[in-house]
Parts: sequence; C-alpha cells; structure tokens
Amino acid sequence: MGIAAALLDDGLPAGRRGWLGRIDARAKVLGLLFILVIATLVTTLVPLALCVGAAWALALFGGIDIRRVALALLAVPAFTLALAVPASFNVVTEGAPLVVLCHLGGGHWGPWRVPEFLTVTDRGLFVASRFALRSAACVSLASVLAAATRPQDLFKGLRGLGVPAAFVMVAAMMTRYLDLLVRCAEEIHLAKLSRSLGGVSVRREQAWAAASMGELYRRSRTLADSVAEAMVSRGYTGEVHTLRQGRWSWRDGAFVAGCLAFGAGLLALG
Amino acid sequence: MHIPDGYLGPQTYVTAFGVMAPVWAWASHKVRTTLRLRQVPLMALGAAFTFVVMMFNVPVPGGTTGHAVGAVLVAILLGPWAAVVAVSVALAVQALLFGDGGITAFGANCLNMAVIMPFTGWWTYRLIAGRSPAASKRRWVAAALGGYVGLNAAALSAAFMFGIQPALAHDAAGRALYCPFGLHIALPAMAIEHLLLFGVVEAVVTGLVVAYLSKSEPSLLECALAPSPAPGGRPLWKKLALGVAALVLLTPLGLMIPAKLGAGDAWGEWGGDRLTELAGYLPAGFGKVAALWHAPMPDYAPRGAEEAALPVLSGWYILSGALGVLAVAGLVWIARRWLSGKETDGIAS
Repeated sequence: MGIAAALLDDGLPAGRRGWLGRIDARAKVLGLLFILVIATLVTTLVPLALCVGAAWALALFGGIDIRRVALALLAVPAFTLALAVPASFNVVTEGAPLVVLCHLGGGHWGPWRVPEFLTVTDRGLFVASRFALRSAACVSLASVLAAATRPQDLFKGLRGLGVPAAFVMVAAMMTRYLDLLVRCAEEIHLAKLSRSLGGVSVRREQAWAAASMGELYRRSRTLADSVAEAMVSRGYTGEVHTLRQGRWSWRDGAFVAGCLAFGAGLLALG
Repeated sequence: MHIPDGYLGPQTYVTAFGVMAPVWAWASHKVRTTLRLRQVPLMALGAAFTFVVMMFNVPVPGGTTGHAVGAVLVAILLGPWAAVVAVSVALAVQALLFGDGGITAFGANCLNMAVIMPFTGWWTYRLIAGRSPAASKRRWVAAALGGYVGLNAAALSAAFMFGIQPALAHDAAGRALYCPFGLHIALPAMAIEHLLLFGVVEAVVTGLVVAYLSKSEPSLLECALAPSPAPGGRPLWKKLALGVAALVLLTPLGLMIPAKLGAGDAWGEWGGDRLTELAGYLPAGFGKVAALWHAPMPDYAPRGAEEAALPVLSGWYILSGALGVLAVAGLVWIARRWLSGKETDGIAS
C-alpha cells in the first residue's frame, strides 16, 4: 500500500517541467502513440532499439522528472527480459544450437517432447531479443507519455482526439477519488496496525483485508451519492461538458511532424 | 493478467478493439439508462474502488501473497454492465498513468478483465445465489465461486491470446514476431498458476467481501443494475427463450451454407474415415479413444440417416438443437433445485 500511495503522491500532481511538458497533450498523445504503434509493427532489431533510444532521449532531455520514469524504463524491460529468456531455448524455439546448457535425456514428459540437450538456439536468441526489445520500446514510450503529461491534460488530450466525453469524465473523476480512496485504505490499515500486537493467522489477515475492502466500498457508495447530489444541486443534468481545447502552437505541430517522420523512418528500416 | 504492449500483434489487438467498441457503446447505454444522474460519480468511484482492490495484497497459505482483480466483485456490487465501464476506466488509468498493462493491448485487457471476467463471474454468482436473501451464506459461497470462475475464464482467454501469436505472426524464417510461447506452453502455464493460486485469491477476496457486506450492510448487495424487465416488458427468461428458439430454428443454415459452398468438414473435427483419407493412416491412439463411446445421434441425426436429403437432415438438426437445449436447461434446473433445497434446509435449521 505504501508503494501505491508514493506513486500517487509523487506521480499525479508532479510538475511537468521542460519543453516536453509544455507540448499540447493532444500532440503528445498523437505523436507518441503513433511511434508506439509503429513499434508493434516493425520486425527487425534496429528500429526497435532506436525506439528505446528515442524514449530514453526524451526522458533525459525533455526536462521531465527522470526518477518517475526510471523504474519503468529499467524494471519493466528487465522483467520482460527474464520472461523472454526461455524463448531462446530449443524447447520453445528450434534452431541451430549456439550454447549447450545441460543434458535432458530426450523422450516425452506428458504431451511435451523433451530434447536430448537444452540449448540456446540462433533463432531463439533472435526471437527473445526482438520480444524483449519490442516490450521495452512500448513500455518506455508509454512511461514517457505518462511522465510528461499531467493526468488532467492527458484526459483532455484524449477527449480532443475523439474519446467519448463520458469515459473521459469518469476517468478524470476517478483519478481524483483514487487519491482519496488510497488515503482511506491507508487509514484503515494504520488503524488496524495500531491495535495489533504480534503476528496474526493467515485466516485473520484474509478476513481483515476483505473487511477493509468492504468498508472501502461502503464509503465509496456514500461518497458517490454525496457527490451526485452536489453535482445535481449545481445544475448537472447528465450532459457532459468539457473545457474548450487550447490552440495548437507551431511547437506542437513540429513535435507531431517529428514523430510522424521518425515513425515513417522506423517503418522504412523494417 | 495485464497484457503489456509488444506481446500481441496487430491482428489480435485491433480485433480486440473491434470487439470492445460495440461493448463499450452498449455498456454506456445500459449504465446511462439505469443509473441516470448518479452514473458519473458512481462509475468513477467504482473504477477507483477496482483500482484500489487490485492494490490489496492478500496472504495465502504457503507464505506468499496475491492480489485480486476485483472485476467480479464490482459486477456483483454494481452490476455487470457497470463493471464493464468501471474496470475499463481503471485499466485505462493503469495503462496510461502507471504503465500497468499495454496501451495497444488495452482492448484485449478490457475484453479479458472487463467483459469475460465480470460476466462469467456474475452469471455464476446469479446461478448459485438465485433468490437467496442478501444475508444468506449462499451469497458469499456464490461470490467466491463466481470470482474463481471469472478469473480463470479471463486467464484462459489471455493465455489463448498469447498462445496464438507464434502461429498468427511470424517472419519469413518462421520466427515469432510477438509472444514467442505457443498454446502448448501458454495454456498450461496460465492455467496452473490461476487454477491453483490467483483463482483462490480472487475467490477468497470476493467471497469474504460479500460476506462482510452481507453482515454489515446487506442493502449494498442488492445489485443496482440487475437485469429487470422494463414496466410492461417481457420477463428476461421469456426473451431468452424466444432468442434460443429462433437460434434453434436457424441451425439448418449450418448445413445449407457449407453444402451451397461445397465446403468440407470443419478443420480438426474429422471422423476416423476422413482423417485416414487426409493423413493416409489412422493414428493408433485416435482409433482407440474414438471407439470408447458411440453417440446415439452421430452428426445430429439417427444412425443410418446421415446420408439423407438436406431437408430431412435439416429437420433432424432442428430436433437435435431442441433436445440439446432441453437437456442443458433440465440440468441447470436440477442443479438450481438442489441448491435451493439445500439453502432452504440451512435457513430452517
């Protein structure tokens, strides 16, 4: 729970400094999502490595808080790499053996065929590298987008790109209440800790976690009803109105053009 | 369960978005017509609640912990269509702000966790809970089973999406472009961990939260969006029966269209004769297993009538459909009667 609260406290209201933070949210969503989609289409390693490089360059030189993206830029690709490693073995991807790891003995294990040796294959190594690089590229680009854009601006940008207003409004309200609910959950947790001495059984821990969630839901319902009444009393009739979108500057246009050109270049590289 | 970007190819993620677009449109229509003015704050709070539920680590025996998805819980508390909206919004915020789950895979994640999971879980819950009172023990048992079934259905769907990638998308050399693990690895890997660990966590969380609410505030368990007929409209079971009857009458299309197009048997559904014809021999294991059971109506017609004219076969097809529907409905009715009887006994004692 502490990690989540830290994420919310440090992440959501963080100031987005630097030139990347000043780009219009619609331009960032459009440009970075375009490159992200291209990253799922290219098939060779060079454009994928360039995508990762571009994300790192934006994170380092875009003037955004590097601490916020460092976890995603380092931890998630490392996790994906760990997942991709088995794909390099001959039990998953057959090919010419590069390194023999151990003797398995051959035969069958249930419906699976067991090879004589466990090896790293040339095809497997390529598949694993491409898989890990593609995931790293996508995660890095998404992290940079999130770190360089305030949530309210991000939702406004999505609205500007045609996402239905009702969904955007629910998402925007959700991020506001999320902070409140996390604090509420922390208070429930703290109240329990302050009344606990020593360890408790798994059953009691489970019952406590479920009771906390139940209590959280009860408070959510009460809060939702109060908010609905407050909205109606201020003239809400069910119609969703959003603030007018700002105008695009030359900087926003240049950013989108740069992203489009970069994406086209990646496609040309394969 | 959250599929990241890069694991699914465009064939899969574009299809998932295509499937989800009408679902989102219908879900927002259902929510709008049912909740009206209360919808926005309730949906926002429901989404925030889903998000927070995913952050609770629940201890399980063996010294490990796991977190629940909470989609079935939200479906039980707010209704399945509200769960579609709430879980979709929670997944969007997770993907966009926290990098948990991919942006291109957002449609696929929503299909698994915001549609398959809440609906399978909610129907399981409804089937078992029936009309039992909110404070009844049967409610939380139904919720726990709903959570377990819902999570495993979603995991199965995710595993299928992973597993088909090597076959769907590969380069000229046959190397996988996206998730490199085929169905033979993805299905057992996902099934084992979800059947044995995460499914249990989901069941424990869903069951215990419903148990807590049924004791502390049972009114919250009266689902806001349970499908109820509009005033003067047909009851739900009548609509369902009419729909099923129409589908049964349309079943001969499954014979007529392939006959018109000259299509053969469905791929992988060959009988022994056809398989021998295609492969040049009959695998020994196939022959042994195929001889274990002889269906009373092979190919949906009585023995000897398989080669009859198309109109006759169509009649048998309709009869088979009707018999199948009656058999399934009868089994469900018996199970429900059995469970209702047990519940009445429990309340009486």
